[in-house]
Amino acid sequence: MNATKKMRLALSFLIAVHAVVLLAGFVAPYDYAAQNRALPLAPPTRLHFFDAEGGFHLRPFVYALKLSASEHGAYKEDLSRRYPVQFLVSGDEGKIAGLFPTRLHLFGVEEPARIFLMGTDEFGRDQFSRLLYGGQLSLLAGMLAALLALALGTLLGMLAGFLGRWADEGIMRFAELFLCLPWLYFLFAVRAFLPLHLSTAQAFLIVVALIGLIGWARPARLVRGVVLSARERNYVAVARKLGASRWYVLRRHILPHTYSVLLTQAALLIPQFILAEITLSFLGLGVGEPAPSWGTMLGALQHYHVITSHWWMAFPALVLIPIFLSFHALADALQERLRFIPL
Amino acid sequence: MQSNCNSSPELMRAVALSKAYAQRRGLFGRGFAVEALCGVDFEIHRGSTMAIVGESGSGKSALAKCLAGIETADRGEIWLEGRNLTAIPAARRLAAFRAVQLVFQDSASSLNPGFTAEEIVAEPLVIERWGTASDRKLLALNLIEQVGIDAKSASRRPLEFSGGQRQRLAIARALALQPKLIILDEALSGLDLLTRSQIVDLLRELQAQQGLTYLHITHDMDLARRWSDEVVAMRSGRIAERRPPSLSHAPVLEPELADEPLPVRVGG
Amino acid sequence: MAYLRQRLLHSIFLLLGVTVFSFALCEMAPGDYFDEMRMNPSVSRETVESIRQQYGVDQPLPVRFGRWVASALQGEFGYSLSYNSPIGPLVWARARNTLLLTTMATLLAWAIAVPLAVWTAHRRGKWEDRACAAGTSALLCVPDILVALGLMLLAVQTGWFPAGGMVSVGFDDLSFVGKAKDLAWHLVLPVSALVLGILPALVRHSRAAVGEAMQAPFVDAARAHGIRPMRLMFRHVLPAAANPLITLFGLTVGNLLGASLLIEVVMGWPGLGPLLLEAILARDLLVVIGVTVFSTFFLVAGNLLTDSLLFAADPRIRAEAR
Repeated sequence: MNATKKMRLALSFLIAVHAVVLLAGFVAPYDYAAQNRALPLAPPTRLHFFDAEGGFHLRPFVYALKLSASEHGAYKEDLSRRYPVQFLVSGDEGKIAGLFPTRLHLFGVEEPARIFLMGTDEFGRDQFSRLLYGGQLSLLAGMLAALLALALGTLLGMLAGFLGRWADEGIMRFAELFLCLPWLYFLFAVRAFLPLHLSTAQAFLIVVALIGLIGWARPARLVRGVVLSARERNYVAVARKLGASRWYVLRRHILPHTYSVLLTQAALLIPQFILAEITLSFLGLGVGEPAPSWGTMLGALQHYHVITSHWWMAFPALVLIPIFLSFHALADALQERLRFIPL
Repeated sequence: MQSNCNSSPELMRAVALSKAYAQRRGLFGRGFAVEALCGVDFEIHRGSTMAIVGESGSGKSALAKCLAGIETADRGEIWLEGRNLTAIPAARRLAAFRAVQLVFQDSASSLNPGFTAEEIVAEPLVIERWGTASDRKLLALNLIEQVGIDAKSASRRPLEFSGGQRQRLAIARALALQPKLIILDEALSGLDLLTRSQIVDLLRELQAQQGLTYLHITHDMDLARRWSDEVVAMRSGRIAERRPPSLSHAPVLEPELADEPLPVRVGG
Repeated sequence: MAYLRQRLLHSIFLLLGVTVFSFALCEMAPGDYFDEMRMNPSVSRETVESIRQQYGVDQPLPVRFGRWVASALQGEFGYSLSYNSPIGPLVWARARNTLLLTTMATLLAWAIAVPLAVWTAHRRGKWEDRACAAGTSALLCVPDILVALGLMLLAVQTGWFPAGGMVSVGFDDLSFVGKAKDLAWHLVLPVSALVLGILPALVRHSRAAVGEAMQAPFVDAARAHGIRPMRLMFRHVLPAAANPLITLFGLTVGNLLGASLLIEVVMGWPGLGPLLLEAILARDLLVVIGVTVFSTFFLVAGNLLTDSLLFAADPRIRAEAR
């Protein structure tokens, strides 16, 4: 598969994932905080096409779940009544992209049955809905942090490359400090010095800021390299000789050459930063309950017996695999496509 | 070719130009200075073509950069048409050097690969804030035609042109501000012989039309002989020798500057 | 030698920088260990203040930093209020465990990566090479959490390996050999998790380094001389690839340390990771500083080692340094 096709495929998949996540208010049948105390740790609801008598129904249906009286924690389906899956139903209020309220949902079932495509957690909250809402948190955190790191890195890299001498030495030594350290330890250590208990919004902003502020060093080094080689080019000398200001040279001659580097870096950094947010939240240092960051959702798995009996709790981690695959494929394709753009 | 050195007025004069570059061995090594130019004196007359030859390290490029105003000499003076450019305060000095333009050796690195041909040629006008955008575009297309490139390819990028065509674009850019002196720093060195002679023809034509003066720096004695009114040889930052090209066949006082091909007997 | 001296100075500068940075952050941190105590209505304010004074927590920052550096140089890293033990020995004990884990993982990962890289570089373009590339790409996308949890699941379901911890109950009663075996048995899962985490990137980069070295003109020249592939590889290609490989080693030290944090917490390995986490949750900031400085120290030592190896292995670096 050539680079362009790979790029298009990866990009389409990522856009689709992000679109679905943004439309969580519509796609998810339930609110992320809605609890069902009667149905904790329920397995994914099975979709049936054949009923108990063997009759086929085109529209899939579910049975209501009840906790089994005999086995502790196991569930039995109540075969007395079928609940067909309905599309475009009206339900709890959800928010599209966190802004627009809507009562319309893509699919659902009639009360009192529930459709848990990915099971529930210990509070009976639908994992599928939480996954979608949580995606908004984790994916957005990764992207924002990458944006911050790239912006800061570009600024400092340019200053270092352009001003040279003391500015260059100083900034690069500072960058080495960041590059040299065990990144995750550093993140945690800095997190340590911030208040433990924060509101969801505060925690989100702090996590994004932390990750972004620590990850600036590599982009800065790369941008500095670009600036240094562009500065030496004769077309810059010509422009300067004609009296062009430094700002003109930066804007017209140097900045355009950083775009390809920054784009590739973005494709590499975003998945790393998503994982960083998830790790922080997993260990309780990121966004906390009830915000469904994928890390918080995975937090239950710290007690490993959970995964042995409730494998569906691992979905947030499984979902990461195709997402990371796409980002890596995108980065590879970008690196190949942009390789031949000379300076 | 009769030299017209002494018949036309003097265009540029360099007096005792000296420049040293500071180097440093490693981060904590001792600093030392490389003397690129040590008291260079010469003058060049309007409408003539002067060739500067020398091996690498002789100071040719440093001289070109100082004369073009890209770098400032440590000591010495540069006079252009009777004006002492080095005496002008730094803030306004660049404007005075506008009459001197530079064409570099490596066209790939002297033309921004992200620009179109038209943007490259029009850039001096943009920086000078000359005219409106359509004026500039018109002038740029004009110049492109003048150097022998089809105006239809003006929206292509440098890498879509051949080496020779790129140098033509570089020349067109140099012409944009109607300079009096064009310095060609090894500008023909990277080209094959056919292209080289075509470009020399172009330059001669432009010289005849616009009364341009050329200073071309080369390590190719042959080219220097064939296309110049005067040959200046540099060595170790100094001018070693000056002679009109017709006398180049005379016994060379500095043997290492000669580039004579070995005599070959052709059958017959 | 001047080169190494320069690198040493550089490392000290780095260590100092991190320490100052940590202390500066500490100063900006709201609240401290005594917050919990303050919120307790049965403890009076005076008591809290006097305890604070006793521990010297109320001194201004430069004084605290100065005292910390002075005692650190003597090997004393302060006292942990939550663990009720001096920090130095506490952190050092945990650091030893982390070191054991990461060293094992490093050795194993490199032992797999380099031969694999050499083998696939030899068969470049053929299906082995492409399968390896696809495998590493796939593995790269699996988050560490999943790998760790997967291994734990394996442990619990099969019972072949212990599900967490470093030693079994009754460890002290075992003979030396028994102790070694027990330790090794507990090491398998965490080491595997770490190795699986860093192996894909390691294989990729090693493969690139060896592949590039194999394409160098001097290798073609040697091959044209009729030198056999084995000797070619070991006497010509690998020495040329030594520089990027050693540099890669330096980079992986940092990555490993970071990866070990999560693995240790999830798999219950008593290393620096869980210590850091607990200290953060208990707001025992001196421990946090201790762990950060320790881990930086290891990293810096690792980098120095890398620089020395580079100096020894690459004649170009020796020439440049002269």
